[in-house]
Amino acid sequence: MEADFREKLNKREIIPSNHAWDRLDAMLTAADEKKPKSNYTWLFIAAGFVGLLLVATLFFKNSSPQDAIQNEVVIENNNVKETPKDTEINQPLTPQVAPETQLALESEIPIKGKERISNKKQVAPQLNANQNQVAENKSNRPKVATPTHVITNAVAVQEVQVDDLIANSENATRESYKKQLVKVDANALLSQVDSELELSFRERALQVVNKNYKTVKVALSTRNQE
Amino acid sequence: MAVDNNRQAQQKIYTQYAPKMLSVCRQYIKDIHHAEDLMITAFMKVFTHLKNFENKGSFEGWIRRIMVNECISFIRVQKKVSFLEDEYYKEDTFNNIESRFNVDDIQSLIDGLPDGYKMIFNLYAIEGFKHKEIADMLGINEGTSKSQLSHARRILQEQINKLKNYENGTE
Repeated sequence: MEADFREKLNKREIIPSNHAWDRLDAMLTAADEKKPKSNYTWLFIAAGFVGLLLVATLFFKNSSPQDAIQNEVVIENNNVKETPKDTEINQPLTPQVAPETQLALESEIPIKGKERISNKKQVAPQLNANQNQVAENKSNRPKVATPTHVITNAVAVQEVQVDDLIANSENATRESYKKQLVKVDANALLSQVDSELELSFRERALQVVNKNYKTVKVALSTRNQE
Repeated sequence: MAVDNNRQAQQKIYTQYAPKMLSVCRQYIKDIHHAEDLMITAFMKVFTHLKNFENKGSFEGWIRRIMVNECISFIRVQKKVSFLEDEYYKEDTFNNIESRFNVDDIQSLIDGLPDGYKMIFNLYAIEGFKHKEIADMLGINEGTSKSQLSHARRILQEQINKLKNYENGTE
């Protein structure tokens, strides 16, 4: 009897109403429209997470500049090689560089008096020392370009016939600069250059002003000494 | 294709299985409109969880199971059917009589049962579940399922006897 019930009920089919599929279609459409919203929500969450990661990365990168400098020394080295910056390379030796720039200016002017020559007396040895220093730096870091205008200026000074004065003071200045050159660390120089390159515009502007101020200060002090 | 929310494929599945599934829902729900509502809701679940179907059993059986679960949930929630922990039952069956009832008569007989008895009878006699499975499905004891079935059979037997007597003109 139950088997008969089962057989007859399983064979039975009841046709649904005509709008049954329309209702189901509407429900499916509504469900499909809900899905993209949740996807966008997850997208926003993921984007926020990535943004936080970026901010955190930048923050920690700025908080540990030593690591960044150590990692980027090689890269910045290449930059220096491409665009040599004489002033930045010689920055630790600013007292010596400042006369050099003066010399470059004076070498273009015809020398008439003894005073000018006396200036050359002091400047020329320093110039030679700078040449030596550049050569030293060159030997330490062969990839760094040498400032060519220093050499040309040296030739100009020689034309003014101050060879005898240069020869007298050369030995003394050379020894003193050798001591100073020993203290110069190529990595420290590069690190300093790197740190300067990474600074913000405001800090860079301040540094340039500061550097120029020091240059003027040294020039003035040198002139006063003379 | 229906897995990818292809509406035409979904409609094809619906057209193929909806008549049988509405019949299944009608076994449990007396009102045809409510039965259709449940069928639509169950089809919605079918299409939503279509990717979960593993090709282990028949697809029709899987859909049928979803329909049955939907009807049971509806009855238990809407009609607040509870089963008395009555473990008294008798291993009785119908009298071995030749059935002359058509499907509408059978449905009328089942509709005459209380909701709890009807549910157990449908699950056991029509769907072919075992008492253990029914007990797990409804969260009741196995003995309760047996006693509910026994009561359902007794009521059905009484109604069949009444119908037979009515046809024979004895009542």
